Amino acid sequence: MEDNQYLENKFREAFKNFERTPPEDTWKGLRSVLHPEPRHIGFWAGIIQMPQNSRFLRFTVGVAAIAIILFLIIFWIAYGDHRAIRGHAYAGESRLSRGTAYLFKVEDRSIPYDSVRHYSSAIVNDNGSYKFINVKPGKYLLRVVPESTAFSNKNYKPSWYDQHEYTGEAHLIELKSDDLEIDVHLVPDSARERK
Amino acid sequence: MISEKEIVSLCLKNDVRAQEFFYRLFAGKMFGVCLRYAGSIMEAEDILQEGFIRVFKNLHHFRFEGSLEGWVRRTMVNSAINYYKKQLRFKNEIGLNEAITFATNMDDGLSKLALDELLNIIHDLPVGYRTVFNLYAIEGYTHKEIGALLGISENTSKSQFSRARNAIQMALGKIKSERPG
Repeated sequence: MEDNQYLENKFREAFKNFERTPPEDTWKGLRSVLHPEPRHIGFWAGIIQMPQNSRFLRFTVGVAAIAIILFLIIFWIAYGDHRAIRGHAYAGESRLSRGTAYLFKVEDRSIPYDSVRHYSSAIVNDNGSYKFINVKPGKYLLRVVPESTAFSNKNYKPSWYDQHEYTGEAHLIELKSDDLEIDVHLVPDSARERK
Repeated sequence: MISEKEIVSLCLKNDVRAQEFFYRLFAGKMFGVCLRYAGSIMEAEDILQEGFIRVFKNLHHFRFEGSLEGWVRRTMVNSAINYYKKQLRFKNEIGLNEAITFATNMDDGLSKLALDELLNIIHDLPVGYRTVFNLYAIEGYTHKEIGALLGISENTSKSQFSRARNAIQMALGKIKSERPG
């Protein structure tokens, strides 16, 4: 028994202040566990995992995201359900050489003058083509005015779709879910033609 | 000179420089503890790293009611125990009268052995013997406490320690016989 106690006491005494310096790698390994390198993660995962002290940044990003979404919603409401009205203007058999097309919004056909208001204008180019974009669905009247300086235009009057001089005779254009292709034929100026 | 409280406080704030200072303050002694429990230097490094992870994870539990080094040492020992719990193969409980006791002449031959030689003797022990021997002979736990730590009975702890002691005595006897004079 005494021998056994002697053994234990000697070992205890021997290892009482026993120490050894561990390899330097041990600290490096420990440090990498305590302070891991940030992983490359996806954008949205990164936003969600942002540390607590970036609360302001998360708030700013959140507000910006909401603003963008609201903008897109407003943009869609304003322009999403819009169509185009395009076509050609003719002076006789030929395409009109330059002019201006005017689109008028009609609210109530029974009172044309009070309910008609100018909606948009478009250039009629050398090829006689015009185009209105982002047009809201509804009822319209279309008028083409030839450019007075063009020689080929001088025998033709400003006209309503499809070929009318006066407003009351103009054909109503109804824009629904699809784009419209509409050609306007200008009314000949018979007084000039006779000359 | 920075106090222990300040170091602990900075470590709790996850200050990496404070953590490194803390590590280097205790690493030498704790590596010594791990070397006694491990079967190799590589295992001792693993136990040391696991131990310090536990230390930093549980540092908020330390109440400065005792020695910080003592608390770190106990945490390191627990880490060593956990590391080897899966590897401990304790045989069924046996009576002490079955233990074989060697009668040896324990003179000052033991004191002539270098620390490394003692360490090698411990390393050569099977993991179960080595763990119980460290806990009882060097750390000073009772067999009852060892049983609770390792999930074994008190008698099993006693028998494992007895076997460890016998193995050490045989190793010491062999070294003594191989030395001239």
